Amino acid sequence: MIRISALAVIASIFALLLKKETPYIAIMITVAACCAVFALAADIIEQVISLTSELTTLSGMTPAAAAVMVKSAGIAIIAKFSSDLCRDAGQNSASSAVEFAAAVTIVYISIPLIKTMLEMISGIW
Amino acid sequence: MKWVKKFVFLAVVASIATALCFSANAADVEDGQAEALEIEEIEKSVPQSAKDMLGDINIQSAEDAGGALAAVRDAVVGSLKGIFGDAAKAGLSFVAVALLTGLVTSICPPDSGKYASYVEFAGAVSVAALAVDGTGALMTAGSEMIGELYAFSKALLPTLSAAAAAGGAVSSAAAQYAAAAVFMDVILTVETSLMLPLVYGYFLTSVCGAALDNSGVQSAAKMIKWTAVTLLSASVLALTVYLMVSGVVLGTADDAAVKLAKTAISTALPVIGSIAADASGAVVAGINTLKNILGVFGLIVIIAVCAVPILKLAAFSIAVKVASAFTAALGNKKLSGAIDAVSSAYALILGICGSAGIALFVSVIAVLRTVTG
Repeated sequence: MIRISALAVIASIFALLLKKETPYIAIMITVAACCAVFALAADIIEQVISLTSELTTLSGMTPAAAAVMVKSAGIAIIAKFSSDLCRDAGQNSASSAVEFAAAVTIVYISIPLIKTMLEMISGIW
Repeated sequence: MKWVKKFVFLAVVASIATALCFSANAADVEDGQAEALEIEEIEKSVPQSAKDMLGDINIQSAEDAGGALAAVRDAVVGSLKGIFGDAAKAGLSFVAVALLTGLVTSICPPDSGKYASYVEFAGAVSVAALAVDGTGALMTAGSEMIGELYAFSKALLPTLSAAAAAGGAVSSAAAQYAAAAVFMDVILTVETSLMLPLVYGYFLTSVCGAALDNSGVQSAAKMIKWTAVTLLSASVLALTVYLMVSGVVLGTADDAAVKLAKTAISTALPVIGSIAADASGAVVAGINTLKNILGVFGLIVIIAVCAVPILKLAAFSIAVKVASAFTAALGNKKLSGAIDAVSSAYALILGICGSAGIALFVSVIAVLRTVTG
């Protein structure tokens, strides 16, 4: 965590220094830093995903519901970072488009879950 | 010599008449009464779940009620581990869903409110899917219990009422049997055609209301729950009040009728009238004893049939309630509301089964209480 924090702070300082002269290099430093942080956190993310699959098995939850949960979280994380990067680059419209695409994608992956709910209701009646 | 012949003739006739007059054997009277009331049919109609618990039970077992109840207690204690184990597993499943939902939500970025709501929606649907399986299994167990009670009541109540009527409580026994029989029919019909959809409707609307955080849907769920609880409470209350009132009013009339009949016998038949009245009283006392033994037998069987299913329903309801409290402690109010709705659905099923058992119990006790002097 210390390495990740240090990397993020150093990259932010460099990006701030270069922003006035060469803004495109500043944004590239920011993107590179984000990728490095994700790479460093990969082991931790793997442990968390392993824990979620154990909890899914323990709870008897349907794989479809667990998949929607995990995918929704993944889409939220990617959309958040993408839209923030676009805002940092001054491109607010691109940022909004990313957020819209993320919302639509989450609705799309929730369709099987909604169908499951409707089948449950109709099966009872 | 004429008077000698008359004397000899009268002596011979008196001897023959005396020889033909035998007093009845008490045991033969009891056997005759038992045969007339078809006691064997009640023994044959004892449900299998009660036979598994009590062994080869018969009417005479009711004389040792303590021993029979001890057998029920031992069977219930023996099944406690399995029941609480299954209930704990069900509760833990819901806790695992809540933990998973909380974990995934915490991974989401802090200001991604609308994305996190989809994660919670997935969690609520998972709770509903788990609950549908559990509710179906418990509802099946409850329906089987009610079916066994219903079948047993078809044999027990007519015989018990016939014994009460033979003991002098003609009007009150008939009224109480009619009420109990109608109520058991009503509860079976209501349970299969109305309560089951109400229970499912309640927990699905609750889960949807909790997942979508919609107060309108949550209000609809509360309305469904109120309807189900009111239906059950009103029907059991109506039966109890009717049995109590009919027992008091008609019992008084039966008591007066029996006393009037005894007085009429005593005064109508010279010399032997009081003897005949006392003899009839002894026979009535005998049939009342048989009625009480039958009633105790019936109560023991009802307890044996109801004990394990009701304990199972109570255990599941409590376990899921604890899971809901734990989920609320984790900070996930939506999911906690959904899990709480599942616990309430289990409690509704418990109420349905409990009311059937109570109705039959109260009916048997009402008939047992009919005593005429």
